[in-house]
Amino acid sequence: MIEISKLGFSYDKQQAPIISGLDLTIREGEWLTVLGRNGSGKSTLARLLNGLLLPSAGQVCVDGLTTLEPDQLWRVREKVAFVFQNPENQFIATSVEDDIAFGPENLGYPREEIIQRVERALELMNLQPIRSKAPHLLSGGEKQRVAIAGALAMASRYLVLDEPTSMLDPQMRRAVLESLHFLHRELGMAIIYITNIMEEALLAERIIVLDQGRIAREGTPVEIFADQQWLLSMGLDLPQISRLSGMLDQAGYHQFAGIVDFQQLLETILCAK
Amino acid sequence: MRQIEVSNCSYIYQPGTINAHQALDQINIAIDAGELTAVIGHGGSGKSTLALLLAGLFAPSSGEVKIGDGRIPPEQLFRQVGLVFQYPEHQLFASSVFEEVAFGARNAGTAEDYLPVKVRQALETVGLDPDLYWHRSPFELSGGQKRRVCLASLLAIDPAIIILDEPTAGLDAAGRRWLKNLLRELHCQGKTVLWISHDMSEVAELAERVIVLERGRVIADGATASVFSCEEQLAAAGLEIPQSARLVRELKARGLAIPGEAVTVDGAFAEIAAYLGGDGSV
Repeated sequence: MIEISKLGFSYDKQQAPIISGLDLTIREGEWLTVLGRNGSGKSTLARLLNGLLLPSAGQVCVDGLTTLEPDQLWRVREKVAFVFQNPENQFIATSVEDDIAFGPENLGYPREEIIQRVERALELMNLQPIRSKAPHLLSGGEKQRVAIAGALAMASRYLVLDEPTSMLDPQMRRAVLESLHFLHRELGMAIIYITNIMEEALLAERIIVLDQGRIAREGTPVEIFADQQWLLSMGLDLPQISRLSGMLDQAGYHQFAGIVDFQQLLETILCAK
Repeated sequence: MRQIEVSNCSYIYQPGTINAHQALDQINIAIDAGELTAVIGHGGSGKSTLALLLAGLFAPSSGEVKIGDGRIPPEQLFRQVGLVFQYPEHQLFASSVFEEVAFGARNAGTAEDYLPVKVRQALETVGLDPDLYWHRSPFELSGGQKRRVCLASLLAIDPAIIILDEPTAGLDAAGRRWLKNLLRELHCQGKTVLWISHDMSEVAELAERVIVLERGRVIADGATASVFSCEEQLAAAGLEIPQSARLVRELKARGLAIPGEAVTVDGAFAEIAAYLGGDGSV
């Protein structure tokens, strides 16, 4: 469990805080999506979760360990892995397998254990065919999967992803999302997913919407996407299916109100007459 | 008036080496002045290479790229063709917004005392208040603001052809809306605009024409609605049509009496509302 209480953060004391008075509990194994316009504090919150940034006020506790204590911080980083938006920004080694091994090596695991962990991560993320390739020669989607494999090799329980697909084409995006589904469903890894793409937000079990560094609303995707006017006021888009069902609702076909799912909208139209 | 003509154009990276890679394979594209065209295709299909060729940054391995009358010397091409790279904010370098935006225009030969006018206009076009941003460091701006500065740098040169490589990637909803409006505005000003996108709903909403690349070849090129009607072909190229477009096509396939041709949410609504009875204003 990640427990965030009265969290505050500012880069510069002169300026308004980026995050202020934020309380949030992230459960083990849940898929939480974080939405909010640019500047709402999404990326800052993400970086506070594993101590890439440290709170100016309040605290972040991961399974009882706080990021504020230097001797606990390393344990936190083991538990909470991070995948950045730009896949270029997170490689250090000259081959895929060395890159995946970097985390567990730094944690000082015995060689045998490192090899085991890397093998498993390569296998689960389907990266064996490219295991000895240089990371900079990979496609964007492969790079993101290598980054995710790195988290697997660390045996992290929480994976924070900051717009991991925004630089990817639709095919790679699907591959990355499938990998995440696998980790979530099969290994019970918690996914904390920041995105600007509303269709991706629908994959969550729970969504929080940030505005000016606070949680403006939280709920299931259906709850969040029910209030379309409010979402627009938060600077967010609506998924196409939501927009369509909203327009139909407004046109007097109230049976369409609140539909966010493609199949459900399809069936409802087919049964409308 | 024909403004861009790509004939039998191929491009090979690192030719003659073990890493040789053919990014474009005998491409033919002709674009008239003032067209608003989207280029789609999955990663590695050759989109960015095409953009670099059009901007004259790469010379074709074979074939020809003709811009305008074809007599512009390569070193002068940047006045005619402006290219905004993917994530252009990674290339900011100047110490102030003014210097950043003025750089290209100065190189294009704009007189020093006229530069402030150009920069001011360009900043206004991208929605940044010149007085507020003039002296600020571009590096301390937000991601969305940085991207606006990059676009202003290009607009200050005032090229007739504007090419953008995934201009909306990584922007939030408001940023995407703003950028879409900017593309529309440039189109209305008569600029030839060609942009690369992975966002099919954006393409459906905005483009007059869509070019689909797949493994370095043009596999479709035409009006947006007609290109999006070839769902199988797009799927084979790793692309998906927008959900609203998919919905009306699926409804039609299931026997509903609707045209099944819409590509945007508004279009899909019109079709469905018409089917449900009346004009949608029950």
